[in-house]
Amino acid sequence: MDETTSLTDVKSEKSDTHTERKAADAPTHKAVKKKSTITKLVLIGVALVLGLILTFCPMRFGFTLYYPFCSSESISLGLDLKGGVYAVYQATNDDTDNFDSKMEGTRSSLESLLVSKGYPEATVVREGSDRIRVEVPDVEDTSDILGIIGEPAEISFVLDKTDETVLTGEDVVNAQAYYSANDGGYVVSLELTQDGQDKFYEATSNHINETMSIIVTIGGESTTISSPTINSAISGNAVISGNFTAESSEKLANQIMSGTFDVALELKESETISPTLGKNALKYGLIAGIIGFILVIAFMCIIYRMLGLASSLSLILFVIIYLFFLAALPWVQLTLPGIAGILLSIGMAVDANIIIFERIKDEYRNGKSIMASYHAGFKKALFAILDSNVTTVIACVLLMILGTGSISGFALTLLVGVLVSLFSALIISRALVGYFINLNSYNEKLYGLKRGKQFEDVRADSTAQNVLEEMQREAEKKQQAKAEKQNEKAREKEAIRAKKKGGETA
Amino acid sequence: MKKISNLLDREFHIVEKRKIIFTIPLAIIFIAAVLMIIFNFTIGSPLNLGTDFTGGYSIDVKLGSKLTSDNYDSYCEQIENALSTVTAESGETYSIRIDNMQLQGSDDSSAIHVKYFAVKGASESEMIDTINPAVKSALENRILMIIPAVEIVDNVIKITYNDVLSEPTFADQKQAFIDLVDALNKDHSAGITFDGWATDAITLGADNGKQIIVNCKTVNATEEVTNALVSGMKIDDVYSGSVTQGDLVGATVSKELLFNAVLAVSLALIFMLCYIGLRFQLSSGIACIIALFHDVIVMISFMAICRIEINSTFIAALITILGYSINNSIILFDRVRENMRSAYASKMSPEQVANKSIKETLLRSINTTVTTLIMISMVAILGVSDIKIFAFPIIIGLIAGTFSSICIAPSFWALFQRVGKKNKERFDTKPKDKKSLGKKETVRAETKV
Repeated sequence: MDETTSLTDVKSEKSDTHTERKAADAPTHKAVKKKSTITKLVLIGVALVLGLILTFCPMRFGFTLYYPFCSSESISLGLDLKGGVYAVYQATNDDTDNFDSKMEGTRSSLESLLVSKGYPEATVVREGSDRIRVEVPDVEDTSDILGIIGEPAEISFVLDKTDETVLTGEDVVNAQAYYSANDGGYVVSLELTQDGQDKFYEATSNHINETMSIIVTIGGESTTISSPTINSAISGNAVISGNFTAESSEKLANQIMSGTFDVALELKESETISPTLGKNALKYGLIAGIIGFILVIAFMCIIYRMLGLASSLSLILFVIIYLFFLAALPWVQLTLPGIAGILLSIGMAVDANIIIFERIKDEYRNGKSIMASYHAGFKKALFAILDSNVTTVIACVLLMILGTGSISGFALTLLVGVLVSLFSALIISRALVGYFINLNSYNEKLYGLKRGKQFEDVRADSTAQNVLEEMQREAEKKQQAKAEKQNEKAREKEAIRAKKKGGETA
Repeated sequence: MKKISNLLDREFHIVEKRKIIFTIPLAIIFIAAVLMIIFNFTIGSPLNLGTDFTGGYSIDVKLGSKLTSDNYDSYCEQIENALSTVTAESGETYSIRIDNMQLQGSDDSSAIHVKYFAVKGASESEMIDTINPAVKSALENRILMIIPAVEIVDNVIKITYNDVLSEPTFADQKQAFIDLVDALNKDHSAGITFDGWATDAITLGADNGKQIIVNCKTVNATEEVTNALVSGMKIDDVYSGSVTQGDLVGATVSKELLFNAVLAVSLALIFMLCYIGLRFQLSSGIACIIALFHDVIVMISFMAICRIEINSTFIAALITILGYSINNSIILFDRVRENMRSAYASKMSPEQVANKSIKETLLRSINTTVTTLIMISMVAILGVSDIKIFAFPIIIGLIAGTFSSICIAPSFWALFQRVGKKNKERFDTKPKDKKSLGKKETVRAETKV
């Protein structure tokens, strides 16, 4: 719930922007403006501190623990950062019909199998056309996972007298091993499909007092586990009993489950990835990021003074919102390339601010007042920022759709970052820079601004006469062009109408 | 800062210096190419590709609680030594190349995970049947044994261990020594005869019971004898752990994955080119792509020159720079677009437009590069080894990207403006031909009306 509060804070700022822009256009009532500006800045400061607390500080409310956005509990980490086990399986019978849909079916059944065995964080993805990659975080021993998937076993129930196969692996939904006091040992229980249950009931009711063999085929080798006599018609699920131990029953259940996959899988490779490396990588990465970020902020403040200060606040807000989205979006899984995406996003957010400030400096150098430079700077920087970000978004979307694994992970973090940085640069920075300029719009040194040679004697809060005239001329031109366009449209419409009328009368 | 702003008051002539601009990257690429050819013949591979690309094998040296962060490095060194001595039956060393070593698990499950490359020229079955077992036994013999130091002075053999020998261990080692001497004397190489009764001559030394001292009547103090004693008196350290042969580590970046990645990136490039073509000019788009290829090639060149291992993280670094480079070029071409629109465009040559745009974006380029470099250098300084490997190509890419967006992209753009009749008309004479001017010029025409 705490996340939503920080979001609403941002929204309220957004609405502030509009009112502020109106206020900025009217150069009178300086004192009043200053007061309201200060209150707004204080509000943003409070939001900032709240956001920072929500992002970095774990808290305890009664019995519930709150995990901040920037913690491994909130942002799900990939295998390379968290450590764990991965295994790659190759399909051996890739010549069958509908191979693609069968692979997809196998992938999803593998996924549900791992979830049912207590690995809800496991990811199962297809790699290439005939491989399946299983990644399970937080596991240290490969054999834990490999045992579950195991060598597939094909199970069949065969009537001995007629040699008729009653059930096969296809009829099995789930296989489970447990201790049964009735049977005096470990058994494997098979949950059957409705179709399988019907077949089983029919066969057992028609063949009472005959024996039925339960045959397990592993790697082409068949073994008869038991051949019980059918005492009565059996409805519901089948139970296999034999001389099982806890382990052998568990193994058989796993193997039967693997046998139900649509394609036969063969283990190609598996490896354990060290979690300790991951933890250190993340810890030092985070420290490096924070120190780097502080240095960047210091750099911005030195070069751009108050503008830099405003951008620092907006960059901190950017990071908070960004981390919030990384934590909140369910399909973000952070990997090393993902961290690269984050770094690039922060870089682009800083870049957007620099582009804007250089524009503002340019405008001021060429004779505009600080306030006018601020508006013109944002306006002129808009297209540069939009174009560069749209290109990045295009690349991200394509890489997300076409790329595999870490590449699509990189693209996702970058996409989120670019969108948030757009918001931060064009809305948060704009508002904040506006407030900061309102504070003291006649002191150029405070903002790191400098007049060009021709305009050295023009006051900071006024615009040079010739520039003002030019601006007016430009505005007039624009208005004229607009009016012209509208006229043209109207004429066109009239022409069409006239044509229609003409057509009707004819 | 003052110097830079002074610089900005001057005219820029960057684009005209094509010779210098194109020579710098070409020289880097040339050096890399030459080095790659040399490496190909001396070491065997032009680039230092990691197991992510080539595949390899893994083996776990499980040491349990014996392994601490203090002795981790020395164990790594021992493993390295052990692997360098793996020899075939024919006597030639396999020269096994280690890709990397990682600390895995904690406390009782601590292990060192070693990844190594397949031996060059060895088939997969050869690797699995002969070389991998040889690696395993080499590690077992070297890492999981207590190896003594042997010293022979004045017919006294001193065998020193790191730890105190317990009573039963001493008895075992005593017997082992007698057996060893018997075997050695059969070869007539050692010529060890004991002083007095054989068993009495072997005593536990005074050095806190870490030393076995043998008083001999005669002993050949040759290197051969010493070596035989060292290997014969090793103690099988059953408690120190085990070596488990891991699996085949597949090339995670298989050809198919690499192909997919290249396909995805190429399609992304084509779409970006279309967008830039729509919003700017096609020639701007092409110049962007050229700048981007320049950055990528320079990055690969540096990886080749410094022979840094290329792993899957390098691909991430490449894509990062791809994004950064396009971003940089677009900011420049945004200025070019603006300067073209301005009424003066027709009076300016393409070089002048490009130079003006470079001048106007120079401060932004420098500041952005500095801030990004600050971030990434922090990562390079403080990060763990994997991240460092990742940060280096990005730093190179950043510098290359800044250079290409200031010099390469506008140079090519200006060159393209010289190609074709229509473009020549556009700059040198007053533009009247609407078709050749594209979208922007028509916009201008509209505003003039």
